[in-house]
Amino acid sequence: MRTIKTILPAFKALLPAVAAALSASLAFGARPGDQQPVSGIHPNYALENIRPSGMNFSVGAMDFLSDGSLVVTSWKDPYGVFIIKNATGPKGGMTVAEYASGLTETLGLKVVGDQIYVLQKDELTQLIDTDKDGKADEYRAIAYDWTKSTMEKEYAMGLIWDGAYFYGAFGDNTVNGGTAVNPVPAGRQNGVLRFSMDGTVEPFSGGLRVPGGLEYAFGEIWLTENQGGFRSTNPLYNIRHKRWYGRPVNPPSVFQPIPYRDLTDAETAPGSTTYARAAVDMVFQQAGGRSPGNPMVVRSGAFKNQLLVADCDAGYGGVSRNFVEIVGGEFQGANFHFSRGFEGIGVYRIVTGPDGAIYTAANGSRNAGWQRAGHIGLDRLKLKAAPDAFDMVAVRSKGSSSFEIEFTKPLNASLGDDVKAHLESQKWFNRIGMDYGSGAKQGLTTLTVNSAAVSADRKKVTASISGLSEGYVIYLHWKNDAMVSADNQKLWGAEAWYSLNKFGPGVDPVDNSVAVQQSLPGTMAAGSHPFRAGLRSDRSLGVHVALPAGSVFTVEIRDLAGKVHALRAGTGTAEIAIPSGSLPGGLHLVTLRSGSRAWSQLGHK
Amino acid sequence: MKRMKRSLMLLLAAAGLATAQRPTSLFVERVVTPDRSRQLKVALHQNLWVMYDLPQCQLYQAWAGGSTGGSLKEANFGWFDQNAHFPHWFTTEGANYFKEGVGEYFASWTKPADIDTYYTKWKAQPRNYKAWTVSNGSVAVAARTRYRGYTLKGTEVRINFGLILPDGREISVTEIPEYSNAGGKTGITRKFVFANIPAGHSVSLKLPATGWSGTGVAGGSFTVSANGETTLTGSW
Repeated sequence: MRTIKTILPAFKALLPAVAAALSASLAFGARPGDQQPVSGIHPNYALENIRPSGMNFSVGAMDFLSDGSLVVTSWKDPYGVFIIKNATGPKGGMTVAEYASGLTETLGLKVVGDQIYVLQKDELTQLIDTDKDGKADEYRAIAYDWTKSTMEKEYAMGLIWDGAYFYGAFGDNTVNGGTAVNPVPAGRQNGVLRFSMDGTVEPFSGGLRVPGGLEYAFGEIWLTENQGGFRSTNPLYNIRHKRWYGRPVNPPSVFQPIPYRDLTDAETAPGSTTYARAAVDMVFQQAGGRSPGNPMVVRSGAFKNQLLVADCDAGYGGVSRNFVEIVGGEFQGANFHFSRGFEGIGVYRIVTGPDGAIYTAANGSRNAGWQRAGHIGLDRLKLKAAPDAFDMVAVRSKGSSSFEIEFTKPLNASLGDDVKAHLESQKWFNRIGMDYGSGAKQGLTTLTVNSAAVSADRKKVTASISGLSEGYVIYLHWKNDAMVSADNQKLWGAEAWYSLNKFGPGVDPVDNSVAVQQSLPGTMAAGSHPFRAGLRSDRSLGVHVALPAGSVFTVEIRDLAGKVHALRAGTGTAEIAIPSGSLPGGLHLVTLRSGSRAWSQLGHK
Repeated sequence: MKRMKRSLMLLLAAAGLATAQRPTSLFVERVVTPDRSRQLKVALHQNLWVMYDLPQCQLYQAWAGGSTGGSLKEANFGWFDQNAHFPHWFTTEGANYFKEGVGEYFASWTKPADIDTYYTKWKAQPRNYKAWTVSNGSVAVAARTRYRGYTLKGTEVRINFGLILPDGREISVTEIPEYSNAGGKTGITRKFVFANIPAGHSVSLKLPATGWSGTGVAGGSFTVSANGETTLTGSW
């Protein structure tokens, strides 16, 4: 029999090999924000738990009225809509009152022109208080032309408005195990649908699995999805017209290019164009969790124009943050740690209030998933007067071999002018497949950081990295807690995951969507608003006109003093581009005229 | 409690709002039944609950639902396990006065072949069902039904919809259901308000079951050719 005396020398002989193997893997992070979820609220923000008494339900959707009232839907039977008055003020001054009831699951809500629109699973509904008694008395059906069977896991998530159309996100018919039922209900469109005010519904995109929510930012549609069948990550998508996002069903839905089957290795390889890729492939259970809610664009502070994403995963959820840039006309970017520590573990909805604060609401989840049987919450995050966090602001691709990493504060002088010793990197790509969650982290490779030069103001690092590949997620990790700010703070989040769809350089986006979303009073006609206008990534104004064929029209851009800056003409359905140089600074009025009718919309450059 | 309820009724009456007592305060509710989504459950009386199919704008079921009308049950498709998060099929409880098969609503871009595929596995339902028809003289026109929503006035519900003609004109219809106990029999009155019926046109509604009376009722249908109000009565 071998004894400890004979085994121990053999074990000791193996130690150097073991040590070598360990040193080839990444340095282990030992604290929140470094290979662990963050444990509290981002230090740039102050948190208040503001859930008023009388609000004892999980939230399906929410948005603000112009007077500071918060409108929320309850995600539990009987489904209702509630108005929280004085929601931007102290908790003690808030009141909760039921506004509407008797709906089906209402997981999308949008206030437009102080009118409340909700997306039920089977109808887009306007809730109108005609007698002004504080309760809706007309439940006006705006649109319902989509297939909805009797399944429960057949979601309609989110509701956004782009100035002319509403959009909602529709999931596949998911069964136990996370795959879609076969055949799906005839005509079921697992994608984004576009709704006109006259009730017309059009498939806008396809190939979704189970969406989490929507945002309208940078003149574009943004959507999150849940990891599961054909999803190895929680993708943050920029949704574009007629694109298919990879989840096939049988019979094929609109825009689906393949029959219902698993995708091949070639089809899921980096660079394949079989399906549209995520702008940010948020890694499963890292900065975020596994059940994202809606994205939300940040409107102020160090992270302005970035997208926060709520997630109801109990262990890894909370809110993560995404920086995006535009490379070759497409969005891509990085996912970062942001915040946990909210009242409700299952943070699911997030929205900016008229006071500029960020509001989050929980969906009652105790775990990942939507059981609606546990923690509820309503919280407010206010940007501190003197935000002081040391954090990565952004990661930008600068080409085939480098990234620029921007920080909120200068780096400590003691780090010197090259911090490559403190940076490590990996790459991998994600496939998608029929097996639940399968395909993540393929081709995992450790990369060589050649240099990490600190800028003159010490707020940026340009990292030269060998082996970068398009179509891969690039993981950047500041290891061993070595990165310190000039005032001796450690990094709040020591990791970033950049979806390198294409080599940069890119351009940072700017969001003016709030200004172009709200139509002028009186222009929300009972019929369709036949145009939409929004700033494109190159700062030109894109005007999509949808009039009957042969209708002669003009599009006019006028400043608020009345001066005409641009005039274009066309017929029928057309795309009009107004160069940035032709747009007045500040607010402008976009007016479409055809025959005796005119429609106007405010914009902002 | 009784005094509070009476006070509420007096307030509603003073405001000119309907005051009929309903078996539950949430007397109008959208539900998913084992057959279809987009169903509207209306609790008129503990002896009379009715169900509308909203895309067809058709009252197709009436039953003696008591105080709850039914309950939410776990979905059971038989051939697959959805593992839903919670019970969501509203299943009626109580004897039916009638229940008609109506048919499912499919998106306008749905291919007929995909419906064939769908019904190879899913529970087959009537296809090409139409509750409402419009005629120009004796010729049927291809009108389509358009559900417009409902309005609550006190304890009254008004269901609004349109019948859209091929040229885009829309006949407006409002239906106001109410419980009736005429002659000691459970029944219903259905008041309809029609507007924009073009000259020479008539509108017909397929009536579920029998026991209906009123102007224009004949052979299982109810036909109207003039704008204005008209009331059907059904009793069982």
